[in-house]
Amino acid sequence: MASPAEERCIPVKTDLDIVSARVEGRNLARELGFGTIDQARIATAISELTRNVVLYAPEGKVTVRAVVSDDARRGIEVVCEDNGPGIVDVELVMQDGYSTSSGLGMGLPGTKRLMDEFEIVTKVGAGTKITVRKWLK
Amino acid sequence: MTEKTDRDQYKEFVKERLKSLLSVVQSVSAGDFSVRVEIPEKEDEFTALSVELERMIDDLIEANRVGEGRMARLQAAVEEKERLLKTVGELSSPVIQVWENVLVMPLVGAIDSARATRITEDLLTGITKYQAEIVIIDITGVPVVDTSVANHLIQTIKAAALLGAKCVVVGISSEVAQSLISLGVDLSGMVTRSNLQAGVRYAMEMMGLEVVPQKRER
Amino acid sequence: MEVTRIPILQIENYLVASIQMALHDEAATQFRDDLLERIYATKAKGLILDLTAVDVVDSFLARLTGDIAEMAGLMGTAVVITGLQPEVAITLVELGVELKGVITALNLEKGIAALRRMVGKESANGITG
Repeated sequence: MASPAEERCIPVKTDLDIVSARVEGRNLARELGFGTIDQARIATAISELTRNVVLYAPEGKVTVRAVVSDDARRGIEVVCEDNGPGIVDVELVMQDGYSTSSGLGMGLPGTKRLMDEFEIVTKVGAGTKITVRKWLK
Repeated sequence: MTEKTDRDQYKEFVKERLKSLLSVVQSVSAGDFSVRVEIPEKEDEFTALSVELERMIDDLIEANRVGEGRMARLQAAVEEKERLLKTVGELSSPVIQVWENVLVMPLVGAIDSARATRITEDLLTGITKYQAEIVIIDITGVPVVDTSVANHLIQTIKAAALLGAKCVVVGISSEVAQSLISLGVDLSGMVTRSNLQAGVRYAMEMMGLEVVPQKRER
Repeated sequence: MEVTRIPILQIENYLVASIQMALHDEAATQFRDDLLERIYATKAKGLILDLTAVDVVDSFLARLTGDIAEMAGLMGTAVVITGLQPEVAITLVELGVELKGVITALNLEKGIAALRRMVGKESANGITG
């Protein structure tokens, strides 16, 4: 039963939106009671995911919301989706040290390390949707 | 003829009784308390011995039972103490300033992921608070230093470096270091010294300090 | 669209720039160009990049600071990064991003001391910048 204030949606098109998304995410994280370090982790993860949208897709959106797990733990969920080309080789992209030719890595392995849960759904030609979650301890 | 038979019979009888008593004693010696001494209804020369032996075995069984009870309680006390030590060690990662800009962080107890993060946080807080430039991390009290602990340490050291502090790790024996290296852990970025004293000496060197004896008045 | 520029100050023969707000990519790139221009113009021996007010350093910003350090280095200027917050340091390490070729110090004071040591060494070695 998420109240409107506990779910925020940020459209992503330019690099300005990267900052907006991570500020919203960090604010929600703070409101939910995450400590400063976890707030930094969540904000950085959102920054990495959102930047990929700006770099590789025409546009996308980020939704941050409060969630409750089956065993009553409270946490934050970030869903980042785009209408980009999709990821051809997910395994390759999830390897540490992977980077595209321009030297800009997708930062996904690092993002996964920062969060507790990481899910990726991608279809070539249709887009990518990445969901990450972090739980309060 | 009859004399010989009587004596022979008696010899047989003694041999039989001794054999059965011996077998019981042997079983009990081997730890098998389930055997029982056979006490014939008709009293004979061996009855007294058999009864005493039976009593002795019962005493042994009782002593064993008491002993096991004590062992169990002792075991429980040891486990409780270990749990307490673990809690004490894990409750805090104390950071101690031993000199201007030099900190010591003694670590006691097992280090898992959650604790490693707390250690890093406490260390960075300490570096900020004391403006430390050198940190001596003493892991002598960490019981198991495996690849996971080593990697946690490496992460902590990297984070401290971002705050401008150099770390020196003391308490890794050369055997542990060898085995970590052979397991593929890259210890090349880690400065280590054998013990706290050597660590302090390193810190002093890094800070450009020297300890000299005081001039004595004569 | 006007991009607010980050002020770059001069202390002794060093430049000091303190990032006070969330930088989006375009502003960050502008900042890097401003810095390099200033270094070239002043022939500064050292640069301090103060990140005390920065609450998120992602891979982009990390790469940018690495670029600044490399390019400044090519111009003979030593670079020290100061004021990294503990939560940022921890996050950077977990992210797996290395700040390459960058010297770090806790604060401005220590940063300047570090610069003095580095620049002093270079003078002693007869390297002119």
